[in-house]
Amino acid sequence: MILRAQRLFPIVLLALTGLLTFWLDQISRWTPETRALDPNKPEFVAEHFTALRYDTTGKVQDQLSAQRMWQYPGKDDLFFDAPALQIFAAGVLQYDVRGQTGRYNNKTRQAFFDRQVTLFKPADAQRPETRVDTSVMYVDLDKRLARSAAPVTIHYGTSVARSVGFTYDQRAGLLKLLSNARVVYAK
Amino acid sequence: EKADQSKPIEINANSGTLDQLKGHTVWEGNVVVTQGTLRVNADRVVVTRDDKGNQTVQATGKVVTFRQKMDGKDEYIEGQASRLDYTGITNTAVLTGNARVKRGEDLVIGDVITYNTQSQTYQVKGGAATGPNKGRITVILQPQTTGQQP
Repeated sequence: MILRAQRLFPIVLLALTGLLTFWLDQISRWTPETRALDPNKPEFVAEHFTALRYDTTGKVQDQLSAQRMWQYPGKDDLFFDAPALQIFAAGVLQYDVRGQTGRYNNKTRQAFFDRQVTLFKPADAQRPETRVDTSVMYVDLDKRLARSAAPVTIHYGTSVARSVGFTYDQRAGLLKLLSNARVVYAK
Repeated sequence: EKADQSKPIEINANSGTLDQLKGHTVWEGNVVVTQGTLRVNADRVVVTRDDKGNQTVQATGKVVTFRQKMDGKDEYIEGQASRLDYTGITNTAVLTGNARVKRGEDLVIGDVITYNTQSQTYQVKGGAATGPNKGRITVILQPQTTGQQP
C-alpha cells in the first residue's frame, strides 16, 4: 500500500502544479470590460481644424477646414460645422466650397455640404469669376465633380443664371443647368 | 427697337450647358430669348461670347421665330426660318431655310433673309434653283392707303 502511495505521489504532485498554473493564469489574465460606445455620441471631436493634402510635387492639392469636426463610432463619415473645402491645381486655387454644415467620407472621397452652400471659382486670364449658391451640394474630390439637385443661382461675371439642379465638371469646364434654366446676360 | 440693343439678353430654357473651355453656352428645350422687345423662340440656342463681351446667338429648331417692335411705331416685324444667326456687334439677324419676314402687312419669302435690327432693313436671297423656292424670292407689298407714308 505504501509502495503504491509512493508511486502515485509524483503524479498527484504534477497534476496539482498543473492546476495551480492554470488557475494562476486565469486570474492574472485581465480582459478589460469593453463597453460598446454609444453610437449616437461622437467618438472624438476636433475644434478649429485644417487638413491638407499634397500632390506629388509637394503643392497643396486639397484643403479642408472647419470650426468643428466629429466622428461617430464605427462610421466612415466625418461631420463638420462650417466646413470649407478648397481644391488646388499646381498650387493654384481652382474652387472653394463652403456650407453651414457638411460631411466627408475619406474612403469614397465624397464631400457633402448643406445649408447656404457657396461654390466660388476665382477669375482667371480667360474667364470671369463664377459663384454658385444653393442649399445642398455634393463634391467628388477624385473626379473633381460638384452637383446638386436643388435650386441654384450662378453668377458668371455680370451674367446671372438660375436653374433647378446643376452639375459642374471642373476638368472638362462644363457647367450643366439641369432644368428650368434661365440666364440674364447683362450688357 | 433701337433701344433693344442696350438691354440685357435673357434666355429661358429647359436646360443649359456652359462650356468654359469653348466659351459658349448651349440652351435646349423650348428656348425663349428676349432682349427688350426682341423675342426669339427656338428648340436650341448656342450663345458665344468673345473676350470683348460681344455675343453671337445661333438658334435652330423645327421652326425658329423672332419678333421685334419697330422703332417709333406700334408695329412689329416678325420672322421665321429653320435657323437664325444673330450677331450683336453688327446688329444682324440672318434667317436661313424657308425664311419669312413680315413687317406690318408686307411679307417677304426667300431662302436666306438678312435683317438688320438697327436699321430695320432686310435683304432676301432666293437660294439654289433646286431649293423649295426654286431660287426665287416672293415679296408681297400691301397697297398704301391714301395719306399713309410707307
